[in-house]
Amino acid sequence: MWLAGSELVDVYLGETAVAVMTAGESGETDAAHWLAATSVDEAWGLVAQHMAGTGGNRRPGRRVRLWLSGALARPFMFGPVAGLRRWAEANDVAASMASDATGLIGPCAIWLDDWRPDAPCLAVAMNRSLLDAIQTSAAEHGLRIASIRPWWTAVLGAALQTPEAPRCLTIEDSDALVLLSGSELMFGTAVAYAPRPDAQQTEALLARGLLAAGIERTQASRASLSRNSASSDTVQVPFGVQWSRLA
Amino acid sequence: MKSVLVDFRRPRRPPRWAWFAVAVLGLAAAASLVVASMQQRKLNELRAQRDELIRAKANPPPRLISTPRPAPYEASAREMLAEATSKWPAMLTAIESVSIIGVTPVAIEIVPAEREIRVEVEFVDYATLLKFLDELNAGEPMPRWALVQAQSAAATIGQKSTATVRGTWPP
Repeated sequence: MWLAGSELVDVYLGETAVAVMTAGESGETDAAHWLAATSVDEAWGLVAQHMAGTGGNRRPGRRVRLWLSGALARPFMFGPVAGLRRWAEANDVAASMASDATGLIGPCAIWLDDWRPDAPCLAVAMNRSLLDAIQTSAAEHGLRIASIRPWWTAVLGAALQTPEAPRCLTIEDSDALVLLSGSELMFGTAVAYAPRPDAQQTEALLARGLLAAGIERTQASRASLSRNSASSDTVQVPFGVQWSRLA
Repeated sequence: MKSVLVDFRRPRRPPRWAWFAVAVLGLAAAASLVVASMQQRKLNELRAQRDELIRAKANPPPRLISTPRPAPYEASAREMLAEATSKWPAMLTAIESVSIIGVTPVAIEIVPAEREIRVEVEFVDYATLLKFLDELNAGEPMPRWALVQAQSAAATIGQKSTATVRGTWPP
Protein backbone atom coordinates (compact mmCIF):
# COMPACT_ATOMS: atom_id res chain seq x y z
CA MET A 1 0.00 0.00 0.00
CA TRP A 2 1.38 3.36 -1.05
CA LEU A 3 1.62 6.22 1.34
CA ALA A 4 -1.15 8.71 1.00
CA GLY A 5 -0.10 11.73 -0.99
CA SER A 6 2.89 10.08 -2.63
CA GLU A 7 3.76 11.51 -6.01
CA LEU A 8 3.24 9.40 -9.12
CA VAL A 9 5.40 10.05 -12.14
CA ASP A 10 4.90 8.51 -15.56
CA VAL A 11 8.10 8.13 -17.52
CA TYR A 12 8.23 7.15 -21.15
CA LEU A 13 11.56 5.67 -22.11
CA GLY A 14 12.63 5.09 -25.69
CA GLU A 15 15.88 4.85 -27.57
CA THR A 16 15.50 8.31 -29.06
CA ALA A 17 13.05 10.07 -26.82
CA VAL A 18 12.10 10.26 -23.21
CA ALA A 19 9.23 11.96 -21.45
CA VAL A 20 8.24 12.69 -17.88
CA MET A 21 4.69 13.37 -16.77
CA THR A 22 3.58 13.94 -13.20
CA ALA A 23 0.22 12.88 -11.89
CA GLY A 24 -1.19 13.72 -8.48
CA GLU A 25 -3.47 11.74 -6.24
CA SER A 26 -6.52 13.46 -7.65
CA GLY A 27 -5.64 12.22 -11.13
CA GLU A 28 -4.79 15.52 -12.80
CA THR A 29 -1.71 15.35 -14.98
CA ASP A 30 0.85 17.87 -15.93
CA ALA A 31 1.98 18.25 -19.51
CA ALA A 32 4.56 15.71 -20.57
CA HIS A 33 8.08 17.00 -20.71
CA TRP A 34 9.75 15.49 -23.78
CA LEU A 35 13.47 15.22 -24.30
CA ALA A 36 15.44 13.87 -27.23
CA ALA A 37 18.21 11.32 -26.82
CA THR A 38 20.55 9.35 -29.01
CA SER A 39 20.60 6.16 -26.94
CA VAL A 40 18.62 4.50 -24.23
CA ASP A 41 21.39 5.04 -21.70
CA GLU A 42 21.39 8.73 -22.47
CA ALA A 43 17.59 8.77 -22.32
CA TRP A 44 17.52 7.21 -18.88
CA GLY A 45 20.23 9.57 -17.75
CA LEU A 46 18.08 12.47 -18.87
CA VAL A 47 15.20 11.09 -16.89
CA ALA A 48 17.33 10.85 -13.77
CA GLN A 49 18.61 14.39 -14.26
CA HIS A 50 15.14 15.72 -14.81
CA MET A 51 13.82 14.00 -11.75
CA ALA A 52 16.70 15.32 -9.69
CA GLY A 53 16.18 18.82 -11.09
CA THR A 54 12.54 18.81 -10.16
CA GLY A 55 13.11 17.01 -6.92
CA GLY A 56 13.65 20.03 -4.74
CA ASN A 57 10.22 19.71 -3.32
CA ARG A 58 9.80 16.01 -3.85
CA ARG A 59 8.63 13.75 -1.13
CA PRO A 60 10.35 10.51 -0.22
CA GLY A 61 8.97 7.44 -1.95
CA ARG A 62 8.36 9.03 -5.30
CA ARG A 63 6.74 6.41 -7.50
CA VAL A 64 7.62 5.95 -11.12
CA ARG A 65 5.57 4.14 -13.71
CA LEU A 66 7.99 3.41 -16.48
CA TRP A 67 6.64 2.93 -19.99
CA LEU A 68 9.00 1.37 -22.50
CA SER A 69 8.95 1.90 -26.21
CA GLY A 70 8.41 -0.97 -28.60
CA ALA A 71 12.09 -0.99 -29.38
CA LEU A 72 12.98 -1.68 -25.75
CA ALA A 73 10.21 -4.15 -24.94
CA ARG A 74 9.57 -6.26 -27.98
CA PRO A 75 6.80 -8.85 -28.36
CA PHE A 76 7.11 -12.14 -30.17
CA MET A 77 5.15 -15.36 -30.43
CA PHE A 78 6.61 -18.24 -28.43
CA GLY A 79 5.98 -21.94 -28.74
CA PRO A 80 4.62 -24.40 -28.41
CA VAL A 81 7.93 -26.13 -27.80
CA ALA A 82 7.80 -29.88 -27.38
CA GLY A 83 9.15 -31.17 -24.09
CA LEU A 84 8.54 -28.10 -21.99
CA ARG A 85 6.60 -28.84 -18.86
CA ARG A 86 7.21 -26.05 -16.43
CA TRP A 87 6.95 -22.32 -16.66
CA ALA A 88 10.58 -21.86 -15.59
CA GLU A 89 11.74 -24.06 -18.46
CA ALA A 90 9.60 -22.12 -20.90
CA ASN A 91 10.98 -18.86 -19.57
CA ASP A 92 14.56 -20.04 -20.06
CA VAL A 93 13.88 -21.27 -23.59
CA ALA A 94 12.07 -18.07 -24.49
CA ALA A 95 15.00 -16.05 -23.15
CA SER A 96 17.37 -18.01 -25.32
CA MET A 97 15.16 -17.44 -28.37
CA ALA A 98 14.49 -13.78 -27.70
CA SER A 99 17.51 -12.36 -29.48
CA ASP A 100 16.74 -14.21 -32.71
CA ALA A 101 13.03 -13.51 -32.46
CA THR A 102 13.21 -9.82 -31.66
CA GLY A 103 16.63 -8.55 -32.69
CA LEU A 104 17.55 -7.47 -29.17
CA ILE A 105 21.22 -7.83 -28.38
CA GLY A 106 22.42 -9.63 -25.28
CA PRO A 107 20.62 -11.57 -22.57
CA CYS A 108 16.95 -10.76 -22.27
CA ALA A 109 14.39 -10.68 -19.52
CA ILE A 110 11.21 -12.43 -20.58
CA TRP A 111 7.58 -12.06 -19.70
CA LEU A 112 5.23 -14.84 -20.85
CA ASP A 113 1.50 -14.33 -21.15
CA ASP A 114 -0.52 -17.30 -19.93
CA TRP A 115 1.99 -19.91 -21.06
CA ARG A 116 0.76 -23.45 -21.63
CA PRO A 117 2.83 -26.35 -22.98
CA ASP A 118 0.53 -27.05 -25.91
CA ALA A 119 -0.29 -23.58 -27.19
CA PRO A 120 1.57 -20.58 -28.54
CA CYS A 121 1.69 -17.57 -26.30
CA LEU A 122 2.71 -13.97 -26.37
CA ALA A 123 6.19 -13.27 -25.05
CA VAL A 124 7.79 -9.92 -24.38
CA ALA A 125 11.52 -9.44 -24.17
CA MET A 126 13.69 -6.60 -22.95
CA ASN A 127 17.41 -6.30 -22.51
CA ARG A 128 18.36 -7.61 -19.08
CA SER A 129 21.28 -5.25 -18.60
CA LEU A 130 18.96 -2.32 -19.33
CA LEU A 131 16.47 -3.62 -16.80
CA ASP A 132 19.18 -3.96 -14.18
CA ALA A 133 20.51 -0.51 -14.96
CA ILE A 134 17.07 1.05 -14.65
CA GLN A 135 16.40 -0.52 -11.27
CA THR A 136 19.85 0.28 -9.93
CA SER A 137 19.69 3.87 -11.11
CA ALA A 138 16.20 4.31 -9.72
CA ALA A 139 17.34 3.11 -6.32
CA GLU A 140 20.30 5.49 -6.42
CA HIS A 141 18.00 8.43 -7.14
CA GLY A 142 15.51 7.49 -4.48
CA LEU A 143 12.81 6.54 -6.94
CA ARG A 144 10.43 3.69 -6.35
CA ILE A 145 9.61 1.81 -9.52
CA ALA A 146 5.89 1.09 -9.50
CA SER A 147 5.89 -0.74 -12.83
CA ILE A 148 7.97 -1.29 -15.93
CA ARG A 149 5.61 -1.90 -18.81
CA PRO A 150 5.66 -1.61 -22.58
CA TRP A 151 3.75 1.46 -23.70
CA TRP A 152 2.06 -0.54 -26.43
CA THR A 153 0.31 -2.74 -23.82
CA ALA A 154 -1.54 0.35 -22.57
CA VAL A 155 -2.58 1.08 -26.15
CA LEU A 156 -3.70 -2.51 -26.63
CA GLY A 157 -5.77 -2.40 -23.46
CA ALA A 158 -7.43 0.81 -24.54
CA ALA A 159 -8.14 -0.55 -28.04
CA LEU A 160 -9.79 -3.68 -26.65
CA GLN A 161 -12.15 -1.55 -24.58
CA THR A 162 -13.64 0.12 -27.64
CA PRO A 163 -17.00 -1.16 -28.90
CA GLU A 164 -15.44 -2.52 -32.09
CA ALA A 165 -12.28 -4.08 -30.77
CA PRO A 166 -9.79 -4.54 -33.62
CA ARG A 167 -8.40 -7.89 -34.60
CA CYS A 168 -5.27 -6.28 -35.94
CA LEU A 169 -3.51 -3.33 -34.36
CA THR A 170 -0.41 -1.41 -35.30
CA ILE A 171 1.13 0.77 -32.64
CA GLU A 172 3.72 3.35 -33.51
CA ASP A 173 5.75 4.98 -30.82
CA SER A 174 8.92 7.01 -30.84
CA ASP A 175 11.16 4.12 -31.85
CA ALA A 176 9.23 1.22 -33.26
CA LEU A 177 6.17 -0.20 -34.85
CA VAL A 178 4.42 -3.02 -33.05
CA LEU A 179 2.07 -5.23 -35.04
CA LEU A 180 -0.42 -7.35 -33.13
CA SER A 181 -3.18 -9.54 -34.50
CA GLY A 182 -5.29 -12.46 -33.40
CA SER A 183 -8.70 -13.71 -32.53
CA GLU A 184 -10.50 -13.43 -29.23
CA LEU A 185 -8.18 -14.10 -26.30
CA MET A 186 -5.48 -15.39 -28.64
CA PHE A 187 -2.56 -13.76 -30.35
CA GLY A 188 -1.60 -14.87 -33.84
CA THR A 189 1.05 -12.31 -34.65
CA ALA A 190 3.22 -10.18 -32.41
CA VAL A 191 6.13 -8.37 -34.01
CA ALA A 192 8.11 -5.24 -33.24
CA TYR A 193 9.87 -3.39 -36.02
CA ALA A 194 12.71 -1.17 -34.85
CA PRO A 195 13.78 1.30 -36.02
CA ARG A 196 10.31 2.46 -36.85
CA PRO A 197 9.37 1.94 -40.52
CA ASP A 198 8.28 4.88 -42.56
CA ALA A 199 4.70 5.31 -43.74
CA GLN A 200 5.07 3.23 -46.91
CA GLN A 201 6.86 0.42 -45.14
CA THR A 202 4.24 0.45 -42.41
CA GLU A 203 1.46 0.21 -44.96
CA ALA A 204 3.19 -2.70 -46.67
CA LEU A 205 3.79 -4.53 -43.41
CA LEU A 206 0.21 -4.01 -42.36
CA ALA A 207 -1.13 -5.26 -45.70
CA ARG A 208 1.03 -8.34 -45.49
CA GLY A 209 0.03 -8.99 -41.90
CA LEU A 210 -3.66 -8.69 -42.69
CA LEU A 211 -3.33 -11.03 -45.63
CA ALA A 212 -1.41 -13.62 -43.65
CA ALA A 213 -3.89 -13.51 -40.79
CA GLY A 214 -6.96 -13.37 -43.03
CA ILE A 215 -8.26 -10.22 -41.43
CA GLU A 216 -10.30 -7.55 -43.19
CA ARG A 217 -9.00 -3.99 -43.22
CA THR A 218 -12.14 -2.92 -41.42
CA GLN A 219 -11.02 -4.98 -38.44
CA ALA A 220 -7.68 -3.24 -38.16
CA SER A 221 -6.72 -0.10 -36.28
CA ARG A 222 -3.68 2.09 -36.15
CA ALA A 223 -2.45 3.87 -33.08
CA SER A 224 0.42 6.22 -32.74
CA LEU A 225 2.05 8.13 -29.94
CA SER A 226 0.68 11.65 -30.08
CA ARG A 227 2.99 13.26 -27.53
CA ASN A 228 -0.05 15.20 -26.43
CA SER A 229 -0.87 14.45 -22.83
CA ALA A 230 -4.03 16.53 -23.09
CA SER A 231 -5.58 13.81 -25.22
CA SER A 232 -8.81 12.30 -23.95
CA ASP A 233 -7.09 8.91 -23.73
CA THR A 234 -4.41 10.13 -21.39
CA VAL A 235 -5.86 8.29 -18.43
CA GLN A 236 -5.89 4.95 -20.21
CA VAL A 237 -2.85 5.61 -22.39
CA PRO A 238 -0.25 7.88 -20.85
CA PHE A 239 1.42 10.45 -23.09
CA GLY A 240 -1.48 10.40 -25.54
CA VAL A 241 -2.41 8.27 -28.53
CA GLN A 242 -3.98 8.97 -31.88
CA TRP A 243 -6.32 6.41 -33.37
CA SER A 244 -7.20 5.76 -36.97
CA ARG A 245 -9.12 3.09 -38.85
CA LEU A 246 -7.74 1.68 -42.05
CA ALA A 247 -10.95 1.43 -44.01
CA MET B 1 -6.38 -10.52 -28.79
CA LYS B 2 -6.60 -9.75 -25.14
CA SER B 3 -5.24 -7.24 -22.75
CA VAL B 4 -1.87 -8.16 -21.26
CA LEU B 5 -0.36 -6.89 -18.07
CA VAL B 6 3.34 -7.04 -18.72
CA ASP B 7 5.50 -5.81 -15.86
CA PHE B 8 9.25 -6.27 -15.72
CA ARG B 9 9.57 -4.67 -12.30
CA ARG B 10 11.57 -6.90 -10.05
CA PRO B 11 9.81 -7.51 -6.77
CA ARG B 12 11.44 -5.56 -3.99
CA ARG B 13 13.17 -7.57 -1.36
CA PRO B 14 11.92 -6.90 2.09
CA PRO B 15 14.38 -5.14 4.43
CA ARG B 16 16.28 -7.03 7.07
CA TRP B 17 14.15 -5.73 9.88
CA ALA B 18 11.16 -7.31 8.14
CA TRP B 19 12.85 -10.71 8.27
CA PHE B 20 13.69 -10.07 11.91
CA ALA B 21 10.08 -9.18 12.59
CA VAL B 22 8.92 -12.28 10.79
CA ALA B 23 11.34 -14.38 12.84
CA VAL B 24 10.13 -12.77 16.07
CA LEU B 25 6.53 -13.31 15.09
CA GLY B 26 7.29 -16.88 14.15
CA LEU B 27 8.95 -17.54 17.48
CA ALA B 28 6.07 -15.90 19.28
CA ALA B 29 3.63 -18.02 17.32
CA ALA B 30 5.61 -21.16 18.11
CA ALA B 31 5.74 -20.27 21.79
CA SER B 32 2.03 -19.58 21.77
CA LEU B 33 1.42 -22.93 20.17
CA VAL B 34 3.50 -24.68 22.81
CA VAL B 35 1.71 -22.86 25.62
CA ALA B 36 -1.63 -23.51 24.02
CA SER B 37 -0.86 -27.21 23.64
CA MET B 38 0.22 -27.44 27.27
CA GLN B 39 -2.92 -25.67 28.43
CA GLN B 40 -4.99 -27.89 26.18
CA ARG B 41 -3.37 -30.95 27.69
CA LYS B 42 -4.02 -29.67 31.19
CA LEU B 43 -7.57 -28.85 30.24
CA ASN B 44 -8.06 -32.36 28.89
CA GLU B 45 -6.75 -33.80 32.13
CA LEU B 46 -9.12 -31.64 34.15
CA ARG B 47 -11.99 -32.64 31.90
CA ALA B 48 -11.11 -36.29 32.35
CA GLN B 49 -11.03 -35.81 36.10
CA ARG B 50 -14.37 -34.01 35.99
CA ASP B 51 -15.91 -36.79 33.90
CA GLU B 52 -14.53 -39.36 36.29
CA LEU B 53 -16.03 -37.51 39.24
CA ILE B 54 -19.38 -37.26 37.45
CA ARG B 55 -19.33 -40.99 36.75
CA ALA B 56 -18.36 -41.75 40.32
CA LYS B 57 -21.17 -39.58 41.62
CA ALA B 58 -23.67 -41.29 39.34
CA ASN B 59 -22.54 -44.79 40.32
CA PRO B 60 -21.26 -44.71 43.91
CA PRO B 61 -19.15 -47.69 44.93
CA PRO B 62 -20.65 -50.18 47.39
CA ARG B 63 -20.17 -49.22 50.98
CA LEU B 64 -17.53 -51.02 52.89
CA ILE B 65 -18.89 -53.32 55.57
CA SER B 66 -17.09 -52.61 58.74
CA THR B 67 -16.11 -55.70 60.66
CA PRO B 68 -16.09 -55.15 64.39
CA ARG B 69 -13.00 -56.05 66.20
CA PRO B 70 -13.24 -59.28 68.12
CA ALA B 71 -13.74 -58.74 71.81
CA PRO B 72 -10.91 -59.87 74.11
CA TYR B 73 -13.22 -62.32 75.81
CA GLU B 74 -14.47 -63.81 72.52
CA ALA B 75 -12.56 -67.05 72.92
CA SER B 76 -13.85 -67.61 76.42
CA ALA B 77 -17.35 -66.68 75.38
CA ARG B 78 -17.30 -69.07 72.47
CA GLU B 79 -15.99 -71.80 74.70
CA MET B 80 -18.69 -71.14 77.20
CA LEU B 81 -21.30 -71.01 74.48
CA ALA B 82 -20.09 -74.31 73.05
CA GLU B 83 -20.21 -75.86 76.45
CA ALA B 84 -23.66 -74.50 77.09
CA THR B 85 -25.03 -75.70 73.81
CA SER B 86 -23.22 -79.03 73.71
CA LYS B 87 -25.01 -82.31 74.24
CA TRP B 88 -22.81 -83.67 77.01
CA PRO B 89 -25.79 -83.99 79.41
CA ALA B 90 -27.26 -86.59 77.07
CA MET B 91 -23.95 -88.43 77.15
CA LEU B 92 -23.96 -88.36 80.96
CA THR B 93 -27.52 -89.70 80.93
CA ALA B 94 -26.36 -92.58 78.76
CA ILE B 95 -23.56 -93.41 81.24
CA GLU B 96 -25.98 -93.28 84.16
CA SER B 97 -28.52 -95.46 82.40
CA VAL B 98 -26.02 -98.22 81.71
CA SER B 99 -25.34 -100.19 84.84
CA ILE B 100 -23.09 -103.21 84.36
CA ILE B 101 -21.66 -105.08 87.30
CA GLY B 102 -17.91 -105.34 86.90
CA VAL B 103 -17.45 -101.91 85.23
CA THR B 104 -17.21 -98.83 87.43
CA PRO B 105 -16.72 -95.28 86.09
CA VAL B 106 -14.08 -93.58 88.16
CA ALA B 107 -13.49 -90.34 86.26
CA ILE B 108 -15.25 -88.27 83.62
CA GLU B 109 -13.67 -85.57 81.50
CA ILE B 110 -15.82 -83.44 79.25
CA VAL B 111 -14.18 -81.58 76.36
CA PRO B 112 -16.91 -79.45 74.70
CA ALA B 113 -14.52 -77.93 72.13
CA GLU B 114 -13.87 -81.38 70.72
CA ARG B 115 -17.42 -82.58 71.38
CA GLU B 116 -16.22 -85.59 73.28
CA ILE B 117 -16.40 -87.04 76.74
CA ARG B 118 -13.78 -89.36 78.19
CA VAL B 119 -14.71 -91.80 80.84
CA GLU B 120 -12.19 -93.80 82.84
CA VAL B 121 -13.56 -97.04 84.14
CA GLU B 122 -12.32 -99.96 86.20
CA PHE B 123 -13.32 -103.30 84.90
CA VAL B 124 -12.94 -106.88 85.91
CA ASP B 125 -12.48 -108.44 82.53
CA TYR B 126 -12.61 -107.49 78.85
CA ALA B 127 -15.90 -109.24 78.23
CA THR B 128 -17.63 -107.06 80.76
CA LEU B 129 -15.93 -103.94 79.37
CA LEU B 130 -17.07 -104.71 75.84
CA LYS B 131 -20.56 -105.38 77.09
CA PHE B 132 -20.48 -101.96 78.76
CA LEU B 133 -19.56 -100.39 75.38
CA ASP B 134 -22.37 -102.24 73.62
CA GLU B 135 -24.85 -100.96 76.18
CA LEU B 136 -23.64 -97.39 75.69
CA ASN B 137 -23.98 -97.67 71.89
CA ALA B 138 -27.34 -99.40 72.03
CA GLY B 139 -30.02 -97.56 70.06
CA GLU B 140 -27.50 -95.34 68.22
CA PRO B 141 -27.42 -95.56 64.41
CA MET B 142 -23.71 -94.94 64.50
CA PRO B 143 -21.52 -96.03 67.45
CA ARG B 144 -20.70 -92.98 69.55
CA TRP B 145 -18.61 -94.69 72.16
CA ALA B 146 -15.28 -96.30 71.54
CA LEU B 147 -12.61 -97.86 73.61
CA VAL B 148 -9.54 -95.69 73.59
CA GLN B 149 -7.22 -97.44 75.92
CA ALA B 150 -7.36 -100.43 78.29
CA GLN B 151 -4.86 -101.75 80.77
CA SER B 152 -5.29 -105.13 82.32
CA ALA B 153 -3.58 -105.51 85.68
CA ALA B 154 -2.26 -108.71 87.15
CA ALA B 155 -4.50 -110.13 89.85
CA THR B 156 -1.65 -111.19 92.04
CA ILE B 157 -0.46 -107.69 92.69
CA GLY B 158 -3.98 -106.53 93.66
CA GLN B 159 -4.25 -103.82 91.06
CA LYS B 160 -7.46 -103.18 89.11
CA SER B 161 -7.80 -103.09 85.27
CA THR B 162 -8.57 -99.62 83.87
CA ALA B 163 -9.78 -98.40 80.53
CA THR B 164 -10.64 -95.15 78.85
CA VAL B 165 -13.80 -94.87 76.84
CA ARG B 166 -14.44 -91.93 74.60
CA GLY B 167 -17.82 -90.79 73.49
CA THR B 168 -18.59 -88.10 70.90
CA TRP B 169 -21.77 -86.25 70.26
CA PRO B 170 -22.93 -84.79 66.98
CA PRO B 171 -22.65 -81.05 66.27
